[in-house]
Amino acid sequence: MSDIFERILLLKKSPIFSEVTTEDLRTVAMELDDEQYFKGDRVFEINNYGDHMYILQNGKVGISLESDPKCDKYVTILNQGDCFGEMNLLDDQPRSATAVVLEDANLLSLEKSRLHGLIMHYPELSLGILKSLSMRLRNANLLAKESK
Amino acid sequence: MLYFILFFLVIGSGMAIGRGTTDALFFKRYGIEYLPVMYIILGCLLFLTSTFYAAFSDRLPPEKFFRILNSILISLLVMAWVSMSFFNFKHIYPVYFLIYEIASEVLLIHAALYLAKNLDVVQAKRLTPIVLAGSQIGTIIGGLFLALSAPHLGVQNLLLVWCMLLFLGIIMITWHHKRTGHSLYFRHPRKHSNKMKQSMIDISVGMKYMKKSDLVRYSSFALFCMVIVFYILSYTANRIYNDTFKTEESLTAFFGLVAVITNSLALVFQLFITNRVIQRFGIKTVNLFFPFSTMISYLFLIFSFALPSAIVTSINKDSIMPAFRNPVRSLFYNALPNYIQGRARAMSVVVVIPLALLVCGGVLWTVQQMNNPLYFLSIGLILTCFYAYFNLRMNKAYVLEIVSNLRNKLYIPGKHEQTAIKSGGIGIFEELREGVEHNDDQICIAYAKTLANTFPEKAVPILIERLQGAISSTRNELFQILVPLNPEKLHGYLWQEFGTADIHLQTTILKQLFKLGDDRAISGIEQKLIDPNPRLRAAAIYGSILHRPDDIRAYELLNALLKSDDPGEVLSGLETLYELGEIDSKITSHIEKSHFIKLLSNSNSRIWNASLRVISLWPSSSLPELVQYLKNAFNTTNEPDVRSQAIRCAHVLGSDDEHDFIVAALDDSHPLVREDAINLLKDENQKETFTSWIIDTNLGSPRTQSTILSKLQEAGTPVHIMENIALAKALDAEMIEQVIITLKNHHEILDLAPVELLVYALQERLEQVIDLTLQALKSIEDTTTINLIQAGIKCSDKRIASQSMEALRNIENQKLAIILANIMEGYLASGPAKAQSIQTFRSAEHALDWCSNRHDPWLKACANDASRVITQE
Repeated sequence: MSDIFERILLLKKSPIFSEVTTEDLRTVAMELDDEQYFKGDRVFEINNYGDHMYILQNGKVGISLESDPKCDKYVTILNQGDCFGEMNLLDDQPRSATAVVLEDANLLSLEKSRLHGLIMHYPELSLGILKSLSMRLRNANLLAKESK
Repeated sequence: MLYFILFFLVIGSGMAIGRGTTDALFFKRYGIEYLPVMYIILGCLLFLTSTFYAAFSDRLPPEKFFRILNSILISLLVMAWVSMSFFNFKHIYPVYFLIYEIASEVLLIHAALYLAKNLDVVQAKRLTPIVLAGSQIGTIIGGLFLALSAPHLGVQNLLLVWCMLLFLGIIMITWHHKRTGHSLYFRHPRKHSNKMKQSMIDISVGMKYMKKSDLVRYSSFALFCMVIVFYILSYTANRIYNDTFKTEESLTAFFGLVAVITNSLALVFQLFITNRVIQRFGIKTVNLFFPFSTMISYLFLIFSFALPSAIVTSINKDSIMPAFRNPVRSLFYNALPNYIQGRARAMSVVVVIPLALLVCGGVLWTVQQMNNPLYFLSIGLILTCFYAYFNLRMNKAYVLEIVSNLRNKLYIPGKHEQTAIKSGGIGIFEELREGVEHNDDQICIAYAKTLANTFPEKAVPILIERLQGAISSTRNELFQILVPLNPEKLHGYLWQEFGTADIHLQTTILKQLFKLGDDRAISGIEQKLIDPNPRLRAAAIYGSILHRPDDIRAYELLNALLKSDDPGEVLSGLETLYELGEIDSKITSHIEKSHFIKLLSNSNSRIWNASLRVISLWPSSSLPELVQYLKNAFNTTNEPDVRSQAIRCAHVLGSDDEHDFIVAALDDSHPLVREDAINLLKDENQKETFTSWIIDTNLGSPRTQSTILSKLQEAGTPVHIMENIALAKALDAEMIEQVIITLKNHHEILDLAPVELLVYALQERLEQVIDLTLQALKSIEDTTTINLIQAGIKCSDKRIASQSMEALRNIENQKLAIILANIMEGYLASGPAKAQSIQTFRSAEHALDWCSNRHDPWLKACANDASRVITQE
């Protein structure tokens, strides 16, 4: 299976891109860049500004709300197909969490202006992003409830 | 689950014993001639009990209500038995009759509520028919018991058997809920709410909705007729049975036998026939079954007032009615908006049925004095005709109700903006005027364009007023909006503005004056051709080509502009050419072609973009050498505007290259590019070509076909062709569904990534091809209805999706409706692969070959990749 087909399948299974047809995901897949990270790398830091979102091709990434690099408490651990970092591309606010690589990972990254262009072209993407953010809000509510 | 089946079986057995004993005891010991009076009293009692039940049923957990109901019934039955056995109290028989009738009605409604409070929607849909089948089996067992035991135990003693069954029901329900707790979906209602008042309000809302909804109105009329027709049939059959069987034991035993036969038939119908018949013929046809069979019953009774006719009648009312009429009526109610369904039902039970019973009792009481059954049978037959008529009206109202319901829930994008704005009247006009006067220039221009399009006469003074004080760029755009309106005194106004305008605006004004054929501007061409400013020079060239086409000097100056090293001069030259609107061979003969083509490779994107725009106006087949350039421009950019521009130039290529280029562009992901491509197809036989592309060749992706289809629809293609297209697409969707089923049934390859991707692609294709079928249907059926169906089936709300499906099932073209409904059911259920009823593909490879041989580039690519991996495996 060629690289592009693999990417398309990965995107189709990710919540953000699931509403876009596989045929259109061809275009989306071509807009993505490959990035490789190793265990312990920090993809981005909390409170930093960023202009990329990421899709996990393989490996594991932990999301932490702490700025302390030694902290190993993660609010969620992401696996293959999960997306992260899309929030600050939409609201232009600093990153709300730190993304730490827990297992060597290959990421697909999408730059902010490209994401905006893609949303204009494939409005279904917005639905996917809404779904993904809604899931995240639910998880946050659950965590808040558990911590009480 | 087993508990529910057994519980309903016990309740069903009891009801069968109740039915047989009630009738036999009342007819033999009190007199069948009082049956009409019973109907009248029953009508009044039903009104009271139904209102009372509706008001208080949800105050208690349904299992507790069931226990109370059964306990009251046991007490009443024991009292009745004591009265019959020890006191020989004659009036106990009509009381017992009424107890049964009321109890059967309340138990029937409460059983449905009890199930609803214990099962979720999905469970209820699947399990309710099975549980109700349990009740039916109970009725058969009860009937069998009656037939065998009545002669030996004595009819009145069977009341105690019913009591025992009710008591068994209490034990079962108590035991079950001790283990599982309260009914799962029961919620305590708010305290202190006036339920009785609320119940009356609900009924009055249902009554008011009758005025609004044809479906509720006609279904209420139909129900009214049906109740009368049903009770006349019931009365007639009972009279024949009563005359035939002389003793109460033999009559009870016979009633038991009839219950066994009719309920067995009903069970067979419900389990094996009802759903299939509804699927096959649709609910509108099935809705006419019962009126038709009732008519036959009446004809039988009219021609032969004897036992065989009575048995036919019993089969009609006790087998056909529960098997076909009752489920279909529930489906009709599902078409109503959620908030009205319960209220419409309450209105039927509390108002329509009691009223019909009062009328029926009154009519029978009056007519039976004449001592000739023909009178009441004739009335029954006439009312059956009315019943059938109202059912026909219900059928018509059904789809309209679904469509209006969907219309309230779905947003359908339409191209009615202008009509809506115009119909908005003075309010909208004032809003547009305010928009034009807005300080923001972009808002002003957007409103000005709409105002000029919708109110051209009124727009001129507003636009001219807005020009005062506007910045140069805004004035520039406003002039371009104003000129096509060609108002009086525009020339003078433009010249007045020309004196104070900057160069950019002067150029615009000059060009607009040339367009208007202004003499002063034309006479000044010579002077402007030598103007030092390239913009004004370009404007003069424009005027010269328009009004002095043989003046070679203008072309020389134009070529000089195009050759200039100054990008501004080049752009002025290109803009001049573009504004000509049409470039014929006479103009091109004066342009230095080789140099012009070089502009396409200019590093300045504005220049090559403007060049492409100019080429789109070039004469057909005049630049065949540009084929590679245009294809590159098309394939290497992500900008839809550039791809659009490239495809608009396709006509300058040779005809074969043009055709290939257009076909490739028809598959573009952007709708504007596809639209541009289709607009270039100028084949004289385009309808035949397009139709053949869609039906025979199945060319391109569904997106391509959708563009072609829109073109065909715009061209007013005959209905029969659109019907063929819709049918071809429906069959194509059926094949795609078969491929998906075949692949899903081969579990060994399903985990392979390329196969997984192919299944995704096929599912998307299925959805798109169904969409294409619906698009074609818009030319055959009512467009709004199809738009609503299209929007509804894509909706994530399952209720709306299933209503859309129902609307689809009831479109005029039943052939297409059946094919599409069958496919869509599987598609909407999106459950596991179902077994193939017809083996279209003998293997997964066969199915993949079918995909590879399609003229659908994406599906082909996915299928080839999947085949390759399967072969390697």
